[in-house]
Amino acid sequence: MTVFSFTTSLLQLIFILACAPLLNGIMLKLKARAERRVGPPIFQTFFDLAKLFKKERLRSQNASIFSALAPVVLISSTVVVIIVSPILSTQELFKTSGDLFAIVFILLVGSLMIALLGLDPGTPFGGLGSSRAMTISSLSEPALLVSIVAISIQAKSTNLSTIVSANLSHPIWLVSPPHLLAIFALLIVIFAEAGRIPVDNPATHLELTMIYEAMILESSGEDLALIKLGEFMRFTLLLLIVANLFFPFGIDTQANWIQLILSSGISLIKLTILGSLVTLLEVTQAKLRLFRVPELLAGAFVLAVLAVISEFVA
Amino acid sequence: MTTNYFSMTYLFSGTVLVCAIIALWRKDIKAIIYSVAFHGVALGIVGFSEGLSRHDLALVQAGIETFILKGIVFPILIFRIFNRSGGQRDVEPLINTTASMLYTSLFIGIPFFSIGRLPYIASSPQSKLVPIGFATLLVGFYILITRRRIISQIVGLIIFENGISLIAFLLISGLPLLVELGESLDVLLVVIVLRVLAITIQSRIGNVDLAEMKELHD
Repeated sequence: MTVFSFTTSLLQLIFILACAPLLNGIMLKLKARAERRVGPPIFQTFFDLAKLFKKERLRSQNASIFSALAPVVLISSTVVVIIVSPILSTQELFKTSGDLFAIVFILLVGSLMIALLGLDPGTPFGGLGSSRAMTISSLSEPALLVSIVAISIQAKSTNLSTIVSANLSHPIWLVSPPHLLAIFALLIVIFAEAGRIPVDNPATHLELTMIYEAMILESSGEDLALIKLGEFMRFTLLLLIVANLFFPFGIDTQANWIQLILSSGISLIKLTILGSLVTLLEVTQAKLRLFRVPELLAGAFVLAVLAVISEFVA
Repeated sequence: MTTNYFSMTYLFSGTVLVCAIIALWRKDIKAIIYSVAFHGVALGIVGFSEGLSRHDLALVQAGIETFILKGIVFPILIFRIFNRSGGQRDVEPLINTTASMLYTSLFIGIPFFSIGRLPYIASSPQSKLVPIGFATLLVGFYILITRRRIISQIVGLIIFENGISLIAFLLISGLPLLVELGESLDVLLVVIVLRVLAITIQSRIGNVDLAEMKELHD
């Protein structure tokens, strides 16, 4: 652990803390504009979160310790992943800490806690949401793991920093067919994991369709604020990881302070572009029926399998 | 130069398989027809680039012929059936898509792990791509046996046949144009026969429907 890597990790954390609500605000604004509405100001999400932090926290009488634990675990698992992933710089905090499999499973701990939070108060909606979320997760997890294997074969490492540096030194790998297939599979899975529109609509509370919102329906006050913040941070983090796997240019590799500052700006641009694309997809596409979601994820799984096999052919 | 041709063959063989998988994955018939068209185009390009890399005129001709017939003529014919059949826009597979996709990963996996062990396959770089042809063939056969409607059956047949053509392009250094043309015309004939059949069934069912309507009116 050097001074540089420590500063990098801290900067990544601050960057994501600042950008996650901002990205949500930008996406809401863009979506409103695409629908010919004026929409909220882009900083509205910050005010919403501040308001939630000030509100009273109510918990069900049946609630166990999980209701208290879940928001904290969600936030802390996200923070751990932010600290160890190469977002602004490939300099690692600890040696070989950014292993992709570890990152996936640390993030899964957060999802699992939210599913338990849904079951905890004993309301029917919570259980419904948790069951749906775990069904989707059990299908998206294999696809995610196989696409990680596909991405890691070229770099001969599952360490995210090593993969990003290796891709930077061999830009031709980025457009190889296996890599494109794996990224496509990864994108589908990320939409499922983050609960975005082809899989789940975060803007609705209709009991027929909601998944994520059903699980956090009983949360309020600080709990809800932490869960919302954690959700925004996870989405931002996943987008940045995909951006760095697919287009790593601009990230710092030489422990250079100026490059680190530049990298923050470039990451913000990448994030805005990706966020706009996601918004475009959400405006133009309808949400899939719940029973069609497994088809989408099974398709992602097959693409990932194809990516792994074509890695061995090439 | 040879490596350039090989990477082109590699890319478009992969496209052939991906298009076959998309045809199995999607439910929208229009999307399926477009993916079959792209499938044929990619197959034609494989034949063309293989022909150029081996300086084999027959293979180049076969590639161009595949491109025109399977990339353009077949999709137009299927679109005509689709337009005449009207109404239904989605396919109804007998086995649900999620299970089909999981089987597909087996169809891809099994050829890759078994064909490499066959003693007769030469160790040219192209022979490494032969499992893609076998996987395409299996996906086509799977579509053929799990779909009821006539358009899906034609699609399955074309993908099945394209898998065989892909293996031929990769493994045998070029089919004579006449053989390739004859085989493709066979498939063309089947497509036309099925088209006539589709129209007949359509008119029969239409009549039956009309009779029922009359009875209701009476």
